[in-house]
Amino acid sequence: MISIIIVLVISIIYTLAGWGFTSPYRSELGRGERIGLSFLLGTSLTTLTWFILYRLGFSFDQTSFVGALAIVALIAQLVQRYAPKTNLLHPAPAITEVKVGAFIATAMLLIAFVIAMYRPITAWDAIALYDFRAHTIVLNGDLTTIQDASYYISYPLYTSLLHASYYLFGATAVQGIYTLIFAAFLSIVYGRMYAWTNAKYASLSLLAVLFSHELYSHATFAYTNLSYSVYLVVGMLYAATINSSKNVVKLSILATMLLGLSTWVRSAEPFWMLGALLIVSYLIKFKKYLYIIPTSLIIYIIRSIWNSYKSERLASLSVDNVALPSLINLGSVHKIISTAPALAKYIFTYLFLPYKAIWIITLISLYLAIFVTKNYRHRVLTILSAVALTMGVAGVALFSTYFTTWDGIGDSARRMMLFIIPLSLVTAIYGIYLSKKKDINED
Amino acid sequence: MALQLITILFTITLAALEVVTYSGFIAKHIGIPAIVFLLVSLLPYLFSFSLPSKLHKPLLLLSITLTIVYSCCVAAEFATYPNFIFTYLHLNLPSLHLLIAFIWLHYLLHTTKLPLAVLTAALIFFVSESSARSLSQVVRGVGEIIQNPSSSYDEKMSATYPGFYPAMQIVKNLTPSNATLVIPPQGNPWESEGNGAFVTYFLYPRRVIHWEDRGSSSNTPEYILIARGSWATHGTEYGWPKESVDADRLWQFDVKTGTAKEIVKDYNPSTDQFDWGLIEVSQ
Repeated sequence: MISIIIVLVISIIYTLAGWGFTSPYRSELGRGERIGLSFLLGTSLTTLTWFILYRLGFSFDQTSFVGALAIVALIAQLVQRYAPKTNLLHPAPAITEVKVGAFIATAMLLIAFVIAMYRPITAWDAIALYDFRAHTIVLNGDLTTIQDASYYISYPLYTSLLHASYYLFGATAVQGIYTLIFAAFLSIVYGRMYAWTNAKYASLSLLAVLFSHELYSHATFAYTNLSYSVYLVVGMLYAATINSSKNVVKLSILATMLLGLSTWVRSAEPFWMLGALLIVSYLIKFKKYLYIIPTSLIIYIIRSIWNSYKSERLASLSVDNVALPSLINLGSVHKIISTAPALAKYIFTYLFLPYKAIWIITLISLYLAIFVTKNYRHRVLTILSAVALTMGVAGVALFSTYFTTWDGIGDSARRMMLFIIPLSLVTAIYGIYLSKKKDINED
Repeated sequence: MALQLITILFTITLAALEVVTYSGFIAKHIGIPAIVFLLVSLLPYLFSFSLPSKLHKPLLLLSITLTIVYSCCVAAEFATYPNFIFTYLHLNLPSLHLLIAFIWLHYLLHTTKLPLAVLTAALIFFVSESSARSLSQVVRGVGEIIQNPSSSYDEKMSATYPGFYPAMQIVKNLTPSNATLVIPPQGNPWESEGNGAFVTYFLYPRRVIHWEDRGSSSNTPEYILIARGSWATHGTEYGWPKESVDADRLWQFDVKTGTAKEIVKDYNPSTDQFDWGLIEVSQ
């Protein structure tokens, strides 16, 4: 019970820390969406700042954590005070206005939270990696235990520092934070879909994403896949919200920040590039050329904070830091051709079969976007889904050329693509809305 | 019109046979997969066919009913074990799932155009299964809490990792915090107890190493885990370590009671075949 209270209180503090960052967008966000976004920004920016403080010589303890919170809250206050505010879109109604959807969502999330808090951390990678790092951080106040093994620095510290921040204040169970991250995500899905469609389709999207079994189960255990998917998809959704020269800069900054923060959760996956390319295309479309470099820098800086540390550690351990782009060469193509049958089987088993409905949904969405709706945002979202699926396949193929155990853990490939579920569901429902609207207009 | 209706009914019924038999039944007996018949059932719509309006409502009711039945079956299967429904009701769920998607499609084609109908049917296909799994997860999770509302952390961990978790707790109690523990090689049947990172979580700050990483001399007390293999499915690889070890003493664990019986002797792999135990290596 004490852990539940600590988790809730610190989560509220995280939300308050991130609140100011959402201030420039407040006229566009419903209250639920703003709380969700503040929580996501609060947790990621605070843990990132906490890590920067560690790199500057502070140890991981209550004082430095409060310091990190204070820095984030201070910057947020400056943003709140000085960033320009404009009224661009209509905000979503409070979720309570959509009674049935709100009731179901609240009940399902409440149950997930209770289950997550009741169960101890038992998932394999959470034990061996994410939560272990959190415990050593709390015990030692530093990264000495983990910095000398490449395995422990294979992923950024977002979830580990998040766990640590709750443990430091006395929590013994923290898994409920994944439910809160999922709840934050749902509030944003609802808010974005309401802004693009109406309350009915927004509720439909919320329920479709909520009831997606893969996502819902990830909301009850301590893996990084859900958090990564949340930051990535939310970044993409805000990028896709851009629709005029008035909001392009403001939303580009928010979207790039979220895409950059997705690499603070998992740095190896290249899917952030899709969102970044989308933002650049919008900046070009609306002739805001001067902003291309600053927005790109946001992602670069956030990525560099972890990557520089990782490279430093791997160099000291004499371990190769293999970047995916370095694998793109003729030799890799030959290797891929030689393992084609095994690769095809692997991709079919772990990337197609678990997501067969998603592949079908994406393909039909692609058809709808090109030939029926002809809506720019719908096309953008559909292309993002389709290219992401293709990138997943290509990524596995490239991965197989370097890692001898590439086919050992099929489940990880499936989890890597978790983000495709909400992205394609939202795209599909948006496509249905546009098609029906078009039919009505034609009639 | 009648011919087209008969075509639809015939192809759907044929595909439905797989629901009460097994996947591949139609392909085996007719030489054409069931999915082809389901696709053929859509052909009449290419020739401006539309279902008689009096069939719309029953078709909608049938679609909804079948979806609910399917969702209940998925939930039951998820809460028990794979093939639970096939074992007891002899219903082939993947075929039923596909059939339901096509029945929805026939209904939706009446109300909307083909691409949109396919997209909506695909969404129903996805959500019907996914929501049933989520709901059964809710039922299972809540059931777990209701059955054992006041379970301790140790009890919950022991239930998840029986054998392994209690053994780690005993090792923790028997060894000093600066100890080095040698664990079995990673791989079946020692997937859990042979995984250094996994074991370290439970024994930190003790150092956990594999046999090949043992140094010639060590200043810290060294222990070796005795493990029969908690993931073992067949007998050949059972038991570790396989070599004799000069020891100050051994312990044989009783993971059910959380106790350990001390035996002062060297370790002999042919006689000391414990499920779980510990060797204190002679310094």
